[in-house]
Amino acid sequence: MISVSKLLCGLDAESDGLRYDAAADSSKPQITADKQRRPVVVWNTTKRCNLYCEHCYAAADCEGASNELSTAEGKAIIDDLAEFGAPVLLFSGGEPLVREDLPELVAHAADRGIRPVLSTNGTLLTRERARELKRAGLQYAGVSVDGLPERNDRIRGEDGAFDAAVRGIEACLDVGLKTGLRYTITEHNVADLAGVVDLLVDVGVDRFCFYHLDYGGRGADISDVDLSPDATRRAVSDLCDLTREYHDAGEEIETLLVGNYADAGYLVEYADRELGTDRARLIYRYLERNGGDPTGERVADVDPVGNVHLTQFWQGYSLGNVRDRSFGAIWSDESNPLLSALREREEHLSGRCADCAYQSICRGGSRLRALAAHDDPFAPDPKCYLTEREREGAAAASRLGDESPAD
Amino acid sequence: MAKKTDRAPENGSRSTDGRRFEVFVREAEADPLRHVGTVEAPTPDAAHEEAGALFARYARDIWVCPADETHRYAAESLADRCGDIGDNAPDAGGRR
Repeated sequence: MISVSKLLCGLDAESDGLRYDAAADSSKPQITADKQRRPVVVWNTTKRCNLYCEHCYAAADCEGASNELSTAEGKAIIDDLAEFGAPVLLFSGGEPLVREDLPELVAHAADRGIRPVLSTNGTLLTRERARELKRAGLQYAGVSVDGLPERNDRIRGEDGAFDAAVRGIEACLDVGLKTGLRYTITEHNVADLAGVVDLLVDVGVDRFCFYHLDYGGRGADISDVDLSPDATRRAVSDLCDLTREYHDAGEEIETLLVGNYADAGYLVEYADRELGTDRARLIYRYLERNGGDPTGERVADVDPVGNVHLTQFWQGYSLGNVRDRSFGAIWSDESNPLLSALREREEHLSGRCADCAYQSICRGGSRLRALAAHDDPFAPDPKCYLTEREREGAAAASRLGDESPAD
Repeated sequence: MAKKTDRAPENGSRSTDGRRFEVFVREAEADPLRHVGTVEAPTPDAAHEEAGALFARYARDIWVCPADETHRYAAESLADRCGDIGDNAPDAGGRR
């Protein structure tokens, strides 16, 4: 996750606080030493969902999975995660609000010292449920909207889904529960991006999280509508411009990018071009501490039946199951050669990622997309949109001098 | 001796969608097989292909076994750790 607003406009990123309790001091890097070693854990609490989105990485549907983790098992997992030191638990799905025990699980996480946050389609969020979740200790609700009404409802498979999601957002705002947008960008909705921001700013939203498409679940089935490198570049550039325009107008919205660490290199290039070399150098150092793509390190996933995954998007492979041994034991078992290699991936990356000037702030991008495109988890991410000249780094080096990204 | 913690076949699925296969790899001829997780695939051959993309570089042998055909015996399981918490029905939360 990269905070565009923080890097370009110097805003304290709420995401810092959500993950690392560091929001009070914007001079701190997003990730600091001890907490960096423990992952944010996404728990897909159920496969059931009242919508059927075309890009759903969990392949959620109205049926759900048999043998999903019970309330008691969920609490036992939360205890494991607390013991392991996981800083944040993201309740996701399917649609987590179809579980009636969600407030009980949220409260258990809060009681154990884990920050509970929620990923939801928003359509089931009434004021009463939002209030109940806030009282249980929920810190944040990210609501998925993938376009203006017509496109959103087509993508999410339900007429009226947009209006219902906005009502859910308003319910959160009404009860004082921090909320924000989640938006997965594809060819189907890139044209609506600015319009959705404008509309939701008017509603009262100030946090906007944009996801690049990853190739897991139904997301793999629509990789043909993923943005081209050039279109991705335009979309990210437009988001940078939009963020700065809002800030220049006194609206301090927070904008974030997730799922493609080519964004890191691009932001350095953008800053160098638009804001000057000193700012570009600061951004580079900041992103270097941030650590690049977090797969298998700073993010983990537990699916509805207890399988532990390297990221929430990589459901096709699991390291093990929490019904057999604790999350901490699974996550720490570096006898698994894939897990071990991912944690020292610089030594294994191949092709254009192997000698990229921005490797230390990107770390090769999505290993899942590399696997999907090349049958090799250490091949180049097909969605890298940096130019050959940018990856080579000589141009940046000549501008940024001795402290350039190519160092 | 480790006690059996395997669940009844009707509620012991390890997959949310389709079939999963347990994956075992051997790095060198003299090494033991090592369990390295599971892959989702419709058939053993497809599972072998999935596992090969992830582990072929580390392994001379790759075995796959249907996860639902694996009987698990362990000293402790998540079900054991639920003892003090209450309801342990496998579908108490997610299937309501």
